[in-house]
Amino acid sequence: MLQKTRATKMVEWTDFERDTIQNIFAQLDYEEIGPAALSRCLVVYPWTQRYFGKFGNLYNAAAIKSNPMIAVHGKTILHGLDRAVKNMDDIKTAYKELSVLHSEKLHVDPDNFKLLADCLTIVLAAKLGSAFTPDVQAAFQKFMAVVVNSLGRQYH
Amino acid sequence: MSLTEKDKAAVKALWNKVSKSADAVGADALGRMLSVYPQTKTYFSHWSDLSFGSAPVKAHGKKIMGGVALAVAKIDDLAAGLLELSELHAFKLRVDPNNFKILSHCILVVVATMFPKDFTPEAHVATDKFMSAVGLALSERTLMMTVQPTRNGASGVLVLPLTATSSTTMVTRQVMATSPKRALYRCSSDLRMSKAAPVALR
Repeated sequence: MLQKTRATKMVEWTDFERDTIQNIFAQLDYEEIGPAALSRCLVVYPWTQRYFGKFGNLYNAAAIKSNPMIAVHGKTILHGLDRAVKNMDDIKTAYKELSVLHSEKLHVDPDNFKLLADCLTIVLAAKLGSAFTPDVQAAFQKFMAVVVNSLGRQYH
Repeated sequence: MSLTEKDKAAVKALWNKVSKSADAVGADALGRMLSVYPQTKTYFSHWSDLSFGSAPVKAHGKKIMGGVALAVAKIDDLAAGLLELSELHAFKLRVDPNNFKILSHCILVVVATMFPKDFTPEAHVATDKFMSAVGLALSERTLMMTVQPTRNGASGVLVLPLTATSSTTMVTRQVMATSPKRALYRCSSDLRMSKAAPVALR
């Protein structure tokens, strides 16, 4: 699925995939989707709460949903994806610093990136409804897989 | 992993909303899976048309949701309730257990597209746990392998000869007749194994 070549490009994108990703992020309501995806991740995969010990009340789903620090962080994460959207031809390099940050400073288990990506997929699906066709889903999941892989690259 | 009473109530509540559209959900989820995870097409090479919305895909999606309905009905004892389906998937279909997770994910995506207001984070976590439990129940038979010494003393994995007419119950009886008293469990790191005593081989 991921074509890794030794040439300049890391991943090959079709025109449809490029357009789909650009369109999704152009229309995205960051204020809504970011917090929704992060809070859903904390509810569905509760062990991910381990990284948010200083964020206050995460006691139940209602508390997580209304937690302002989580909301801010959800937006931060989603804006972090902008870097990948703008650099689709070399996400690996674009995310080098972020990978080091998540590994050396934040100590996040890279398996968690996939969990958040899945929650973001679900939130996006709920938002787009029937517009989230199989082809759109495939393009989005491929994009997220590349992002997740790039974030995990600098771990050692 | 076990489902709490709260989880079961949430699953049933969501199923109440979803079940009227079960056929559509099944067709969409299956079609989506074949498209997004092309490696799953290998299980359906005998179909004439694997495209989204084709007749075989719709029919089979409906069948799959019938299985989900059964699981909801048997939510208090999935291992027993899904025993026949587990044997079907293990001995006849021989599905790699990882694929249950893939299909579950697609079902959740479709439910999210069709029922965005009902698929709250709380409903999501309960359903995710439920689908994991269903996947585990369906893989149960796959993950039990019997190792049987051959006549010359070397041990090998028991391979079941499946004839064209064998039903799942016939296969089960073959396993019963030839399996040793103890079964070896192959543990997938992704699935939590339940401790099934040898008596489960009945």
